[in-house]
Amino acid sequence: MPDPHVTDEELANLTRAYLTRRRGQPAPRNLESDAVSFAFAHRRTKRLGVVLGAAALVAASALTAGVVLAFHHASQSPATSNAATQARVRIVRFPGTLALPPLDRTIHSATIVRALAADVESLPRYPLDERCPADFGTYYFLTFTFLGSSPLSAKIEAEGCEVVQVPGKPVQWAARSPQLWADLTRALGFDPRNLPPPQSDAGTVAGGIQQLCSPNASTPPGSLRFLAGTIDVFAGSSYGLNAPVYETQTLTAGWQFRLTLPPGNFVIMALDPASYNIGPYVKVTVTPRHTTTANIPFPTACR
Amino acid sequence: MTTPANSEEYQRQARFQEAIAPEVNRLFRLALAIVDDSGEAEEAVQETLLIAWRRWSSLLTYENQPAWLTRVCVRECVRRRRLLTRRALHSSRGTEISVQPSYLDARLMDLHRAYNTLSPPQRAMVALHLHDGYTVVECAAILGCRPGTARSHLGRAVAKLRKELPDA
Repeated sequence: MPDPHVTDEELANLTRAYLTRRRGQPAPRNLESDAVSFAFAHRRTKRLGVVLGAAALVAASALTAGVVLAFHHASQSPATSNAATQARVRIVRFPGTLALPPLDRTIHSATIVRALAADVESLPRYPLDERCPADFGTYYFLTFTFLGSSPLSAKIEAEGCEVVQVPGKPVQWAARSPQLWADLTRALGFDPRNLPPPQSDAGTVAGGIQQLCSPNASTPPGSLRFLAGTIDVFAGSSYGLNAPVYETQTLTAGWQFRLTLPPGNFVIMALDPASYNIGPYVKVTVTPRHTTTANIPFPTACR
Repeated sequence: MTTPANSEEYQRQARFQEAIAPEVNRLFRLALAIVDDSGEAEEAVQETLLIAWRRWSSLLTYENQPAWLTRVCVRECVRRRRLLTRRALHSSRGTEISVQPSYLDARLMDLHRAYNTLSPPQRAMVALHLHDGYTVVECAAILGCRPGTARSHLGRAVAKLRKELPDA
């Protein structure tokens, strides 16, 4: 039965509230870069499929199988793998928030391509509980091309968790795989992880989502506890669900954030972990080469 | 395949990234409201960017690129939501698609259940018209249908939400 007490306006307001909460869920951290990389990496393949139709689809399937085999053979019997010996790898660096010169190289050396393919193939899975150092969003995008095959790609983060993503495979991890970095160094002629420090005039903001106990809680006064949660950073003074997010970080309990930001005003907001809705925030002014502390007080029940 | 750093292709990629990246979060949140699944929403955004990149040459001449991206993203979300619904109908779990989020209070939870009964175009109309404030004519242009059809989707959606909502 229809609810006679719900007016049009109430229904509209309720729906707006529901959708605002629903849409308040933060976007995946690397969505921007992942989506752009996906578009760049899949452009040619998709076009080919449209032009050639079903016949090309069958051929592509066979070729993809060949590439997969080439990946395996590259590490096991490189000399006998015809596809691998005529392979190349294109390495593009996406600078993230660092001021880095553009890098886009294609390596034709069969030895290096084989080695890199084998390195990527043999990486361990990413351990989900790993705590990572600072990440400025810099990553390398490798596109392996084997003669007559569709390219396969790997995205390798240069800092932070050093996560490696290969389409269709579980998330992998390069932090404990020195061989991959050694082979990348050989390919590029420099250490890909040896990145220059962030912009010289940048400042740092450090802090956490600070638990704010009610006065009658049993937690001793003065104790500082940091909560798990997500923070959104907004440039300037505009913030909220519709303002563009400058940076997002997800924190585990007891951990603090450390942001490298250009000079200027920023709003750092904690998203309410219970509702993914707007939470408390602090306004900070970043000054060059200085570290500013900015804890976000978060009222919550304490034990 | 080779794209030197100073080549035209590289410059195109850089311009694309600069123009599109600020829209990604907005598109993701819109997609989430329609498909109600963060993985599907992410893929819808990726697909939108892929289409945008393929048509980047012509997209550069458009005055309102965000509107174009919204249109592509919404249509992709409607398509994906239809697939999700179809998959759910064929699975043994019945028509319940999404896990009930824990962050909603009881009243909003009722609305969440009611919202899940809407068809994909109805969800899109509710999200675009009631939340984002697009007019019915604009919603029709985004969805690629006549204004009368859009109005009909909206009317049915509101009627269904009202019917499914229990007494307060």
